[in-house]
Amino acid sequence: MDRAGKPLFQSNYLTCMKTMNKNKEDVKSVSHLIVCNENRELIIMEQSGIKIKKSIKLPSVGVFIETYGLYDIDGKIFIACRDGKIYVVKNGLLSNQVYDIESKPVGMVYIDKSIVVASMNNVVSSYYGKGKKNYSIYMPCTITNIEKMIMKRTKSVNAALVALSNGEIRMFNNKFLITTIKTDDVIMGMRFGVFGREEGSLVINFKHGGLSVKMLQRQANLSVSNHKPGPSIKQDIPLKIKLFVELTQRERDHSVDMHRLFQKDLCKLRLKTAQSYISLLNEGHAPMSYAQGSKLRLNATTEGIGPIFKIKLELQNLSKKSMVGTRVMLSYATDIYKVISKGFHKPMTLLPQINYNQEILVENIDENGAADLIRVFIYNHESSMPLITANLNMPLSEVDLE
Amino acid sequence: MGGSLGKKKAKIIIVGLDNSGKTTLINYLKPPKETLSEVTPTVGFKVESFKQDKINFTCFDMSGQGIYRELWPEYYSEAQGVIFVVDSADKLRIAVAKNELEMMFEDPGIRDRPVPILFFANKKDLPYALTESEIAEQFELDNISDRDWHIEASNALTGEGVTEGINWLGAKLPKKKKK
Ligand SMILES: Nc1nc2c(ncn2[C@@H]2O[C@H](COP(=O)(O)OP(=O)(O)OP(=O)(O)O)[C@@H](O)[C@H]2O)c(=O)[nH]1
Ligand SMILES: [Mg+2]
Repeated sequence: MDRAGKPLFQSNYLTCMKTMNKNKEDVKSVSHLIVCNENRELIIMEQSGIKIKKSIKLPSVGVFIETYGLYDIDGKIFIACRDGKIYVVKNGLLSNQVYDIESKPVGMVYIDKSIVVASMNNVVSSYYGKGKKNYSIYMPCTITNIEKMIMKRTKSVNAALVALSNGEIRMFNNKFLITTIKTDDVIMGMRFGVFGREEGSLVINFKHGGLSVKMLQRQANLSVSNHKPGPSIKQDIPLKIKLFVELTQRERDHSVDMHRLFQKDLCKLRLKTAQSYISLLNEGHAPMSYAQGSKLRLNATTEGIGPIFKIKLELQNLSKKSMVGTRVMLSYATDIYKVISKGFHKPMTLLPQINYNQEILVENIDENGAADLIRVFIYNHESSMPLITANLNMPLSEVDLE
Repeated sequence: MGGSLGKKKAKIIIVGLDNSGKTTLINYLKPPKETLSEVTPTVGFKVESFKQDKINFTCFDMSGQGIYRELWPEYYSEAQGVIFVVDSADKLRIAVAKNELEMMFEDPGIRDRPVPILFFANKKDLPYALTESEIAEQFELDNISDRDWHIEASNALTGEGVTEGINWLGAKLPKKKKK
């Protein structure tokens, strides 16, 4: 398409709308249309609907509008915006009162002098008109919709309907769950009001295209008093017995000392643990060793059923420097074992990061095939302390029958 | 059988949702000079009387509007028979009508007295109207075992089915003469 010569234009879409009565509460009286657009504007139309009465720049794009009262008589317009804040317009001016919902809004309703907002962090929060938070209710999954349910019967009902992604609609009167309606699909939209001749109807639109109408039973009781609110139930606190009182008193009087003592003991315990660990490492008893500043790992296993066993050693130098003149030495009970392999005593040079494997054959010479411990030491000529030790618990041996 | 006129009297109550055609139905049964040319929604209730099949009926025509439905139970215990009118073309509110019916069966005034119940599947002339068997199924009428019941498709404007229904009710009323 050839756009040359044509002016550039920015498309601007409406994001939400609402009406607000001008100066009479009556449903059929004159009202103003209020809209928000992608250009961060809130536009209030003249009652005729063809001229703009007022255009207000918002800090963000409004996505939900709720109104309270009459436009001419101090009415308030609440705008939930994409930046996660709710702004208030009063007397045609953006007031500095802002509600921060700490997430992005998915719906907002005005019930009983408070704003109830559903947000993307699965929370429904209610704020008083002055901006103070009233309560928050946490949902188990994503909220898809929120709708107000207001009915003036003998007992009037002011409830919020919250649709969840698991197909549930939860009805809250204030923060109390009154009932849950289960559906088989995700709810994309819902509206409560008069449908045909029935005033308490809820029309639900489902994700897969279904439409469902629910009608409130005439004698349904939706008051809070019937439903025990979960968390606010008084907890059973046992009576304060004398021992408890004394203990509390003692804790109160000596709290500082008790805390200090505890800290000291904790400190000691930690020190002791650290010391033991270090000595373990330094004396080469652990499978990892830091003795003489070296870093060595030794893994020793046995194979075979006897009377000849194979001891497999795996040595690795974990330091950056090579180690010269390291030797392997075995310590065992000479009346039980005899070493067959020769030459494993030879000094070795261990290059860093390379695995050295050694296999040593030992024979069980005990006539009953007794089992004993064989200790493997790795040492060098610099110290009599081993670099690392491994203890091998030898299995019982099969007796050589020949 | 010793009454001076030898005529039976019966007190019945007629209930059903608003706009189902209760008043229109009664209006059809009234003597020609008393019929209204135009029926308006009933407020509260109205007492009517008519003669059918040698029985003098006194009838409580209740309003079916939500706010007035609470009045129904007040008159259950006096009634010797119940007429329940359903707008067979109002499919959406069949569920509401069923709910009201269930509440009626739970009321002591009906629960504890096996009075006969006559259902009118009214407005059968309207397109897409449910048949009497469909309504009977929706209402699960087959589960009623403690009393006589009957369903009749009707058109209250022309009177089709109305007399048949009332005659059934008349036959089911207690044989004993009422003073
Ligand atoms: N087409 C058709 N319309 C009917 C029939 N019966 C009643 N109507 C119309 O339905 C409307 C309501 O009738 P009413 O007799 O006032 O209904 P109701 O049950 O007495 O209503 P409430 O008094 O409000 O409880 C009127 O406009 C009647 O003309 C019928 O059989 N067929
Ligand atoms: Mg009527």
